[in-house]
Amino acid sequence: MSEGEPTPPPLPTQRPQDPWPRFVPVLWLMGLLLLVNLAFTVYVQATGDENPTGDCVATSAMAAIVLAFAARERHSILPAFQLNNLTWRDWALTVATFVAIAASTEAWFFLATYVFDTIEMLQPFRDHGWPAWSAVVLIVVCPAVFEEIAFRGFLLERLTPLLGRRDALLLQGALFAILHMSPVVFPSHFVIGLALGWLRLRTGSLLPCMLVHGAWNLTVLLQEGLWSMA
Amino acid sequence: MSDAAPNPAVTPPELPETMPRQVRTRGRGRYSTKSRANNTRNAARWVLAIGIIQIVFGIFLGFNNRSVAAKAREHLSPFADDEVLQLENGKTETAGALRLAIDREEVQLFVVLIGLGVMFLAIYFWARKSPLPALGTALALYVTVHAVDAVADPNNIYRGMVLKVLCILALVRGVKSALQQRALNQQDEAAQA
Repeated sequence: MSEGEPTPPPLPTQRPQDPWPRFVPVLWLMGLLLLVNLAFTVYVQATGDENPTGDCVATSAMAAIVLAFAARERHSILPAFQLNNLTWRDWALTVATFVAIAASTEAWFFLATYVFDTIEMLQPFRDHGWPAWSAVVLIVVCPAVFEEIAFRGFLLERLTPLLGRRDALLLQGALFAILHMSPVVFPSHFVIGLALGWLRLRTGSLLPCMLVHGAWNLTVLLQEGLWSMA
Repeated sequence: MSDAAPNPAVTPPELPETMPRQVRTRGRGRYSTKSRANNTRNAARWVLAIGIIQIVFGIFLGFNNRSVAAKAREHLSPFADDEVLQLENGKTETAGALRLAIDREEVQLFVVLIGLGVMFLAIYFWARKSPLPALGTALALYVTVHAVDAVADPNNIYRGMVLKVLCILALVRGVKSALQQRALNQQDEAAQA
């Protein structure tokens, strides 16, 4: 080859690293969370017992699974818990996300009540004489913390390098909706998953997502009459 | 001729633009670009098939359920709306509430089954634009729907078992191929940059 001619780029000598091993933990996490949900459903169906103790066990199992997976991704998840990095703009976005979620989900639930029965989440707590705070812990706090660590923490962190931001956002939203195991809430929870994922990417923090998620769950409980129970 | 002198007869030709692709497709067939594209396309077609089957069966089961609902209404016809009846599970309910529940259940079955079919069709169109997240969603949705179905009635596990396994395998292969394809595309983009 004569001098001065551009040299051809070096040919890749190896196949790129197989991305499948990085994707497998996502499937494992999703599979284990679904398994816990299914086991809980089977237990309730087989025994007819809606005692919140079963809910406690399922929530604890899900928390243990989520924390075990999050520990593997701790280097990227732990910085997302810092509060001092958040600006006023981030808090404004948090409020806007909550309003958007509340409006869209309320509209969807309003339409769904024409066809489907309303699920009363507080009823088992009332029936078994559990205090109002236990319902707040099991329905508001735990899902807000552990689902956010799982979906907006572990899954989003894993999927973004593999799929890019947009596709990772869509996939975690879809998986979040699927975890709730009800075709009725799939559209509303897909929107919630997208909104929370967007908030996570915009603010870089998990705390606003947890706050919005918890606030939304609390709104649902208040509509169901949490005050009267308290 | 000395070793240092360039010999036009043996000078390596300009590398064609497709060279990296040839290197990428070297080796076993399942690593070839064509094979990956086929797997992804096949998986998307499976999603389309699931959507169509779901809608067709939804319509069929919905209409079948209407005749069951009509029979149930007939059984309830001797009772007044405010009459309290004991159900098989020991709970009590008024005849009016039961009639309302039958009416709602009729619509619910149509909405849920056809709604799921529409979701799979939407995922198929999404898979044509971005196969990886769409096929991942389809896989998770399909497994969840059938798991819930099996919980509702354990006999459903064995119904259409072969089709379920084939479908899950096709979706898993589709996800794997789409992942590999994306990694190669990213590598190409990085090399070009």
